[in-house]
Amino acid sequence: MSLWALLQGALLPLPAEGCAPCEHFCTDPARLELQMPGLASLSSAHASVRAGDGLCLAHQRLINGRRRCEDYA
Amino acid sequence: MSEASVKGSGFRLKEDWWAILIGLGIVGAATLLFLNGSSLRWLAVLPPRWKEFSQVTGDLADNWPRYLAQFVFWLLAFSASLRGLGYRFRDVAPAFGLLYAAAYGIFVIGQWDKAVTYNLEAPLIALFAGLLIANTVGLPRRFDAGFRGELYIKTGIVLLGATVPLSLIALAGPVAILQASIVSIVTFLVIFFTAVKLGLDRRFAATLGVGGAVCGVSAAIAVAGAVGAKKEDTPIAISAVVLWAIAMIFILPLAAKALLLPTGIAGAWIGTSEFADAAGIAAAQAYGGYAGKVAGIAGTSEQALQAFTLMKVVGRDVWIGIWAVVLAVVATTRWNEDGEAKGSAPDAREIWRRFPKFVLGFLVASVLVSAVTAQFSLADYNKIAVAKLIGPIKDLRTWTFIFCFFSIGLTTRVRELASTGRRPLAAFSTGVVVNVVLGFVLSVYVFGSHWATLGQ
Repeated sequence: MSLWALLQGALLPLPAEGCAPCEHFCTDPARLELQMPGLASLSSAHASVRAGDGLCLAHQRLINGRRRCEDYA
Repeated sequence: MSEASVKGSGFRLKEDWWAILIGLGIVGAATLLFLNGSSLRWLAVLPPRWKEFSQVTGDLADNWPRYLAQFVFWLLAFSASLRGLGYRFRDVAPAFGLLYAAAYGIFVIGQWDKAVTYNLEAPLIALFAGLLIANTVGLPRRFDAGFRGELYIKTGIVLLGATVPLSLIALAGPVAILQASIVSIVTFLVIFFTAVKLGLDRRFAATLGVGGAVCGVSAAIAVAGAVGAKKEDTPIAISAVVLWAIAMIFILPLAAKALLLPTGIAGAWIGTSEFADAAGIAAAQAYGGYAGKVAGIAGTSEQALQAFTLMKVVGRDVWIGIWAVVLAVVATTRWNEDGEAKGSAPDAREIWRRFPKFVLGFLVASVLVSAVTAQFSLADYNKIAVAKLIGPIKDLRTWTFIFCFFSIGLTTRVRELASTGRRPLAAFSTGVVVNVVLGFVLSVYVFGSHWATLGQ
């Protein structure tokens, strides 16, 4: 992978082929913090370490949204 | 936090970047004033050390315009950041007003000359008072918009960079990385294999493992997302981290005090064995407060904070992206027999995406102040640079830490935390024991002379 591709991928939002547009994929920080009590106490849903993670409401998992599945909607 | 308190869902700068903007803004302003023969001291007001309470009231009568200006400054800086994160000013402003008033009161108690005698260190009071309020009477939920401990601690860590010379990072950083890596890897493996042995899912075991080994709740959510952990497992890992991290804020300084550890060694131990940045800074700052006040404890208050920061931030936090990518690869290739991790896949770019960006602010602040003060002799550095440049930044940093510690207490509602269950708690606690013992041995016996003389 070239340095440019690395930088581009790091700075741009999730790729279009990922879960970002899926209606089951929730990345709203407020909702994540509500679903995970204690998250806002010693960390935050706004932190860089969370990257583009979100809750998959179809499979009830916390995912990085990099791999679209057959339930994509 | 209520859902209604965050508006919109479009692209936003992450919290780390806001912390960098505020922190480097302060450092930049302080540097410009210093280079022009002035100082940020006027804004960086603190309650005085006191024996008689009249000294406090006298200070307030003399300096109330400075406190008012500082309050307005913090309010504008943090409310703009929180607005950028989607929170409403009308929720942030009253909460921050309460936070500032409480922080002032906590400072006053901490500055009492008998405070150490009664274990009334400001970080511990802030945390305890917040926990007491949140778990008894409580405050309106919408005030959580202003109780953003993570934003405050990250801002404080950027400011901390200005007080850590670049040469110290270069000299002590490799030792910190070595020590932290040993402890992180061992702790992770202990928690992971204990959890798997107890029958827990491997993704859950990995989430628990990094929670104890790397950077607490932040690591837990990062790895949970990378490996595709079940929704109900992550809050359990968070609960285990929060409960142990808060316990350790009180346990580690008291244990180190009982052993009369030098501040640098205690800071390194806390940096190795605490689970979250904010919790560790509370413990390290509390311990640093014993320097010069408790007979037998050698070192300075800054050594405790510097050793902690090098160990935790440089030694542990910055590697979270690598942990996430490696575990994502393992999860996809080894744990995905029935394809249950739909939606998650490894991506090397996540090393940067998940990098805790506030660390960059910490490093830039260190570079900036180190460059400006490079030509000073040690005597001039202590007499001029510390008084006019570093001292005011340090005092503003202390305010952000108190905001953070009180916010942690106010947002930790024990009844709302997910029940950890016996097996996850047993696995995590096993890792805690190993981590604390190994961290102690490395900090005291293996690298003890290094940490005891840190920065000297």
